[in-house]
Parts: sequence; C-alpha cells; structure tokens
Amino acid sequence: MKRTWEEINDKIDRGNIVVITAEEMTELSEREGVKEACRQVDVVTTGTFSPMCSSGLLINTGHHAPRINYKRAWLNGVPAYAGIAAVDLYLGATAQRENGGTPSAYGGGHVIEDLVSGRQIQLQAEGHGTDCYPGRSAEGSYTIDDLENAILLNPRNCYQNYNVAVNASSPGTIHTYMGPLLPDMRNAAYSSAGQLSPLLNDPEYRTIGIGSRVFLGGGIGYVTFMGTQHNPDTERTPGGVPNCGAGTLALCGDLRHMSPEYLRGVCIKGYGVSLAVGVGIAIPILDEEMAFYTGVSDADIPAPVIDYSSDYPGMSGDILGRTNYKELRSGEIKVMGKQVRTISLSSYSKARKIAVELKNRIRNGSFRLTVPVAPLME
Amino acid sequence: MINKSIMLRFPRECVGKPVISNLVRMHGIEVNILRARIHPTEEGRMLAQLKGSDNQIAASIEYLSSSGIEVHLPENSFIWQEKKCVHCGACAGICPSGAFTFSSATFEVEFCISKCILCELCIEACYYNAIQSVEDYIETSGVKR
Repeated sequence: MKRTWEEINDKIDRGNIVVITAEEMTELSEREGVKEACRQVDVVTTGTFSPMCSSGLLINTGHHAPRINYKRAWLNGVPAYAGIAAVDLYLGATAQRENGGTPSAYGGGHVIEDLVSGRQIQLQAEGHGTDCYPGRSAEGSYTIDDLENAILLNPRNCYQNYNVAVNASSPGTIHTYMGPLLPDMRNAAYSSAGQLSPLLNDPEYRTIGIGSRVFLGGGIGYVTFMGTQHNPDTERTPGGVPNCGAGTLALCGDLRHMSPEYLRGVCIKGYGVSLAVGVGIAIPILDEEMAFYTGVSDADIPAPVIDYSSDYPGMSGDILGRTNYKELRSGEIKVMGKQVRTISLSSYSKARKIAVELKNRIRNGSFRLTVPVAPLME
Repeated sequence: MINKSIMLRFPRECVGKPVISNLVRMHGIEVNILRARIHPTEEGRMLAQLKGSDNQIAASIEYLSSSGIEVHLPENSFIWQEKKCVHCGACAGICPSGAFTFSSATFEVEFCISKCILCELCIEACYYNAIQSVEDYIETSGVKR
C-alpha cells in the first residue's frame, strides 16, 4: 500500500481525505494492526504546546520622519536586537524587561502575546544619526496592524525528545527552566507531547523537511531549516525513536494570522521568561513505514532522567536512569529505586486541541500538505 | 459536614470585636483561619474555612452579615484563574495537599478549594500566571474602597 503526496492533496481538494490525530492512530494501529491502519488512513496530525525558548519576533516598524536607523531599541521596555537594517528589530522570547537590575517577570514572550492579542505596544529607539538616517531617537505606539511586518522566526522549536529533570544533589529547591525542582528528587519535570509530538511521529524525517507547511501559533508557518542543535545522530530504539533530544525545527510564519490561544508569554520563577508555542504538523501516510511511525505510543518513547543540580549545569553527560512517557504521564516514575512525582511543562490537552484543529483544517480543505524541498538530514 | 471558604472584610468599627469567637460559641462550627490582616486603613480582612453542617454554615454567614461584616464566598477562581490556564498540570505535580489534581481522562487540571492549604508552591510552578496568591486576592478582590 503506497500513496503519493499528489494523491493525498487531491483527496484534500475533493474533500474525501481520511485524517486522524496521532493519538487516534496509536489506538487504531494497536487495534487493527499497522497494515490495516495504513490502508485506512491518509494523513495523521500531531501537536505540541510548550515553552520554546528559541523563539522570537522579527518586526519592521515602518520609517519615521526624519529617518532613523535603530541602534538600540526597546518594545514595552524589553530590549530588541537592532543590529540589522534600519527599522527592522528582532525581539527574542527570553529577553527580559529592563527593570533597574532586578529581573522582570515580563519579557519578549509577553510582548509577542500582547501583539497577537491586539494590544498596543510602545517602542523606544536610539540611533547614531547619519547623513541618510539623521534621527537620533524615536518613540511610537504600535498594534500588530500598525507594523509593516510581524514575523514569528523561531530558530529552534519542536525538540524531538527531551530530558526529564530532577534535583538529586542540592539540599534546597533549585529554580530551573524546567520549573522548581524540590530536593531529594521529590519531583521530576518533563516536557514533551510524547505520542502526539510532531518529530516523534516522523522520527527519521521522511516527510517533515525544509519547506513543510505547519500549524504555528494558530496560523500557518513553515519549516525553514533544521533548528539549532539539530542532532539526528543520537542513539535510537529499534523503532527509530531517539533516546534523547535529537532533531529540532526552525519555524517561521506571519504573526498576524496567529492567536494568543497558541502563543503565550511565560514567566519561569527564579529563571526568566519565555514563549509557549503551539505547533502542529500533518504527516502523510505514504506507506506502511509511516503508518508504523505514526502508531508510536507513549510507552515506546524513552526519556533520560538528568540531575539538574549537578550533571546538567556541569555538562557531565551522565544520566540517572531512563523512563518513558507512559510512566511520566501516570504521575509517578521510579528513579534509582525511589518513587518520584512528575510535573509536565508541556500541555497535553493543548497538543490534542492543535492536532484536532489541524485535522479539521485538512478535512475542510483549508490546509494542504507541502512536499519538502530538502531533507533535515544530510 | 461541609467545608466552605469565606472571605471577610471587617469595617473599621468591627475590627476590635470578638466576632470569630462569638461565631464558634454560638453556632458550634469549626473555623480555620488561613490568612488575616489589618489594612493600613484599619479595615480587617480574613480568609477562613468554615466546617459544619449546611444549616450551621448558613446561620454563620447570616450572623457575620448581621454583625456588619462583608462576606464574600470565593469561587475556585480566587486562586486558580482557569481562563489563563493551559492545563499543563505543573501545579498538580507539586501540590502537596491534593487541591490541584490532573485528570487522566481529560488531561485537564482540576482545583478543589477546600483542600488548599495555601502553601503557594503552585504559584512558583505556574508559568502562565494563572494562580493568584491569597495576599493578592485579599488586596484586590471584592473590596470596595
């Protein structure tokens, strides 16, 4: 049983596509077998919603009179990178509002959420003053509609798999990007949508590649390249699932079509700020191998447990043990003989909503699949 | 027996009166005071849980109101602001009293205010600012200045 991308897009156009979510595919292939699941299903949709720190917004404010070339700039008090062309700025999700030295609970991710919610933001900028750009300072108020461009440009999203973080060595609570970790391994934090997660349903990047159209923040985005730290050469299970981090995606899309339901500024107490991003990717069931991959279940996906009080900051590379997403989602895992409560940073219910929303868009013909122009592996 | 959370605002003229001990003596209920403070304007505010029968609690609230005290009955939202919640479940993974739980059927967070011991661990665990501290609630909610 084989299908081509063209056949799948034709079925989307004709309105008789068979599309289900990755969660439904796992059930179907367990119940009826991979061969039968492959025969029945054309497309499987995935989803994930989690803080993704390597995210940001590229904006162009439009020119001022007189013209100014921004050298330093702040959006709602959050510093943006101005080392590009005149009125272009890049606002990173983890940049914090400058607050007289004390860390602020408001940052780049919150500015992005404000813009996508239709709220007005304030710009302050400084320039050197040149013959062609004489302006030395500028101020302005902008809603998303006032900006010339507002492009979500995320260098690393959708980590294929992720660490489980514990505090095994520090006597007190430590504050990490994985949230508060209590002493004596009293909790363990994880962050993946597991069986619903995009790259875990296409672990060898056979259908997700450069140019793939994706659901990004409620709107449309594209995979622009492999993400930073993309590392496909990690150890894998016999089913092809990486044992740790592995692949990542660089994503890009127009913020104007996105929604605050799927883009949220976050504040990680004692650590900093970030942006939670919702991403969904549709996977064509080209053959039985893709049906097998999309049938992956939480129990098939391993995750390394890492001590964030010593091994992670010290880069020792050691792990305390391995677990899987079925155990993690049960609320308790066993690490070195000890029962440990689990905390999820990734929202499974949002991931599910995204997979269902993408399924509906494919069904009603408003989301077609794109053939990658280049693979994510060399 | 039921547990009922109440938020009280004592106007200046009531601050010195032994209202809570009267309440316990007259109505035979248990009162667990979670937070109490007197504001610089000399108004008092108190968050407490009453434990008793439906009738006892109704009579207690009647007594408090007739003593000139403003009674607010907080909803779950006074701590958990569901609108802002993304249901990641981080609060449930850290809550020591079982007030925040995570449903394995819906994959959504549930909150039961009567189990909350106000330790505020959840406030630190929540990335989305969806949990309000009781201090913030006492400071801002339902109080007409």
